[in-house]
Amino acid sequence: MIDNHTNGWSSTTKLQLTPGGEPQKHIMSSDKPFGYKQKTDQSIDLIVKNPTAITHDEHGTIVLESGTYSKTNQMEFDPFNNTVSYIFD
Amino acid sequence: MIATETIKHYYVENMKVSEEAAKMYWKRLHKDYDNFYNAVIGESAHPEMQMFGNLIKQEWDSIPHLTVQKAFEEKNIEVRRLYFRAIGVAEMFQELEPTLIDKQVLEKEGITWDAENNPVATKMRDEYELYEIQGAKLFPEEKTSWRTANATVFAVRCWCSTTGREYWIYVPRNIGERKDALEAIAWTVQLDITNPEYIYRQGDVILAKHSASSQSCRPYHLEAKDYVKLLKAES
Repeated sequence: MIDNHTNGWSSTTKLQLTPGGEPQKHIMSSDKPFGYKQKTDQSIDLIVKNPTAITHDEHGTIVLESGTYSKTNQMEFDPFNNTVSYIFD
Repeated sequence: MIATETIKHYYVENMKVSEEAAKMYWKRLHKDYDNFYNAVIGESAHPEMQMFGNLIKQEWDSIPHLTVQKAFEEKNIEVRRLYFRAIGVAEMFQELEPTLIDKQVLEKEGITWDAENNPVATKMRDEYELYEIQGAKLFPEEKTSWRTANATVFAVRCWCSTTGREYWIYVPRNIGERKDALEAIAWTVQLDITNPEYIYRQGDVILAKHSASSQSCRPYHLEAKDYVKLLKAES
């Protein structure tokens, strides 16, 4: 793994896209480094120069082509305390 | 989050509840004792809280399982609300015979990837169902029609395209009242960039590709037309 911090951006070859407690992880990995900027627990900006796969124990692989991406999580409402939160499966 | 007031009562979510209610709520909300400990007690907690945690640990297996039936036996509406929250959307909607409000099928061209991570054109097909449970069913003792209507809950039902597993997601009442299953699932996606080119979804993770004109903006929930247009791959 490579980490070079510049203006909040880092580069790496492997990144877990969800907080550490999630048992089945969304892992983004590539032979070549990609850029990422963690904005909040669930929000990450990504800069990809080469095809980069995101794998998961249960879900099929997603491959990101070159470009800039914003990663977030789906949201859910709680009708019993009127709050909105992110879903982590 | 909690503080003991007397021997037999606790404060849960800023509400004073009986010892039995608190324990049933915690056990149902947290999948196991370790999850409860990390969420409610924590390693840096005061020694008395640690002792409380140890007490709960000893009792954990013997705490009664909180069911929908048990929740309805609770006369206090606010405690019942806590129970419903802990039970979770899937069991609530599976057990309470909800009303199907809308069902829609989304079919469109998309992509998947082969074993070498090469893109392969595919036809996506998703079913979305919007259900409601009337507030009068959840809280029949509410005295005004406004309060009863305000207690109605809505959820969208969908299935994972990889595993086929069923998912239920609560959506706000103002979204449910649009009676459109696609509007409901679209609401679950919130972006903070303008003009995304497309979105990918892997489970609960959303990836939005920036277009040349994308800029940061205040977070906003997608509408159905955007969701249908933008969704390009899912797994």
